[in-house]
Amino acid sequence: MPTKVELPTKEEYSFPEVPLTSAAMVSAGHHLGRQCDKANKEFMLCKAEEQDPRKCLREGRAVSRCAFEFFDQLKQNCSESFTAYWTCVDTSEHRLYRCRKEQGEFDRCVFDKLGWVRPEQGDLNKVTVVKTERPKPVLDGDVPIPAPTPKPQIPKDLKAARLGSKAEFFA
Amino acid sequence: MDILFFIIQALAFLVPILISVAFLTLVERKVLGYMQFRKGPNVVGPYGLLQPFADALKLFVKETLKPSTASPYLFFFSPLLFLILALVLWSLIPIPQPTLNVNLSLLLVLGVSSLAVYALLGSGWASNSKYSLLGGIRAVAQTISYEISMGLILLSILIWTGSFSLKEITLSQQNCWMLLPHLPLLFMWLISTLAETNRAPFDLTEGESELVSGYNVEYAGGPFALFFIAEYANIIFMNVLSIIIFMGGGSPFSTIPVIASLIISTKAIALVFFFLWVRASYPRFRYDQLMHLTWKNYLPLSLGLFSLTLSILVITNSSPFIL
Amino acid sequence: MSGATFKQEMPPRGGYGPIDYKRMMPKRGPSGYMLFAGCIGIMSLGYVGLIYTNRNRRRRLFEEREAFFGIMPLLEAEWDRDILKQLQHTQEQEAIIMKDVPDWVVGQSVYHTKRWVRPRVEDLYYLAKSKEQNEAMFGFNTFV
Repeated sequence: MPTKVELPTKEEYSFPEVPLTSAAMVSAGHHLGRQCDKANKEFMLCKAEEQDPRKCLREGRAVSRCAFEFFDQLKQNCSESFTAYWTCVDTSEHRLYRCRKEQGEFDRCVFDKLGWVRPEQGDLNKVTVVKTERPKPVLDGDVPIPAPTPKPQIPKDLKAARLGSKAEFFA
Repeated sequence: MDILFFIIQALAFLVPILISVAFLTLVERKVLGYMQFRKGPNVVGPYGLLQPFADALKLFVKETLKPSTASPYLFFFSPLLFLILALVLWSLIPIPQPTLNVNLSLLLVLGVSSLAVYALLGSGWASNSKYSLLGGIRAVAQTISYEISMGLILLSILIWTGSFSLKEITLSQQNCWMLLPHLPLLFMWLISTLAETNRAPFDLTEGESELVSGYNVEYAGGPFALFFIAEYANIIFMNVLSIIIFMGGGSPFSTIPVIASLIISTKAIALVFFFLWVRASYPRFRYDQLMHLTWKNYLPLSLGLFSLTLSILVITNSSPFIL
Repeated sequence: MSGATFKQEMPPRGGYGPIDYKRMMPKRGPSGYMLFAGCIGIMSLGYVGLIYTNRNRRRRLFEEREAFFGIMPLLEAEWDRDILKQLQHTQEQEAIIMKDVPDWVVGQSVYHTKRWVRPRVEDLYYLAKSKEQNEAMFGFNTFV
């Protein structure tokens, strides 16, 4: 029985996109990941658990709002160094290592004015446990995990095998 | 306007290749001349600089002959195919930006360069002459055999670069050229390129003592010129390819456009000179020796070296991928 | 004529010395062992360089991938909203086109499931103009 695809109301999914090119996004990626850590993790957890974008629109809007705030702050405080950095990234084929000088200036500016620190290598990659208020969804077709079988009890009065261990053959 | 722009772009791509081919023929005759204590062509123009253009003019003005028993379409189509394939290959070379940015460009190079076999086979068969047929068969067998050894040599390089893209391969050699750790492979590769382009000492297809001139005996005038240009374009292409794979392309400045292309061309000239030097110095191989060299020496050796590099890669945990 | 002394030419006493028929090659360059050792030396030097480069390259790749991880949730949220927007648009169009057909259910899923199935790009853009369609399907693949 094919069902109708229900869609949420228009207000729920109408939210502006971040109007930036890929180079600007990538060059701000580390800081964005650190600053919007909470919203991002919440959203990704929701996506992974619900497996349905219609149920994670609220979290998605939170992510976008956080990104807008982030880029607004960048524009107000470090517009010049950020522009220099991302134009460099744009012209060097999105290879971040070719723009270390500009990156250093950008990081210094961001640290002085906003107090943001670039995350250490491997920080964004870590597996984290996220605390959330959203209840865990029961998906259609999910089978509840059965309780684990109890551990077998070893009887206390075990006697040695009469003809010795059979494992000796393989030993 | 778009069409005009397209034509200008196509000419900007084709004309430098054709000019370099023209001067390569002159350089070859000059270098061979001085190596044999004589002067090369020095009559047409200053130092014989206009000789290639005179040759081209002569070849294209001459009547194009066709043997009466030849297969007409294949006879004229094969040289065209050969030339087109040789020119297509050039679009994949990053100097330092490729014209065609393909992720698997090295694979494409191998594939397209093996397609040239059909042109050789077609021309040899369509001429309907015993000499050209034998020459074509020899050329095809040689090219196919050496392609295998080339592929196996590339295998050891590819596990270290981690990418089939020629651009990525050049970028991976900024600190250390590939020829240092793969020194035996470099020699095998150079000899394989000699055999792949049917150059001396592996020019058995042309063996003047047995076959008059190989698969292109029956060709004259324009079609012969096409064969000639394609062969020399292939020679320069192979040299540029070995520079990109083993000598790091425009290595010290491979990201700065103009300087990188200058460095690549300088290295290519050095390798072309090596090709000419080999031609001046070594006698021709025998055919069974040629086949033994690739199937019994290079094939096992490159496989063994591959297992060596692979074990070093695994032991030192230096794969280019994040696993 | 008898006075003429004839002397038969004979080999020297003890015979000729051994004929030197062996091929004499001048010794040139370093010996084979030296070449072998030199080759191994250069190779090990090169391997050290290559291992160093590859570890650096891996670190850079790691960094670039982390930058992508930073923006991935944002891109995903925007992409989800885009899909829903496009789906809404196609459903509206479908309702207009099929309004004369009785028993037509607008936006019927083709799958036998209540779960969300991510629509393919072709399903999203099948009512759009061909230029828009091409851009959506191949837009990221065309480069010169």
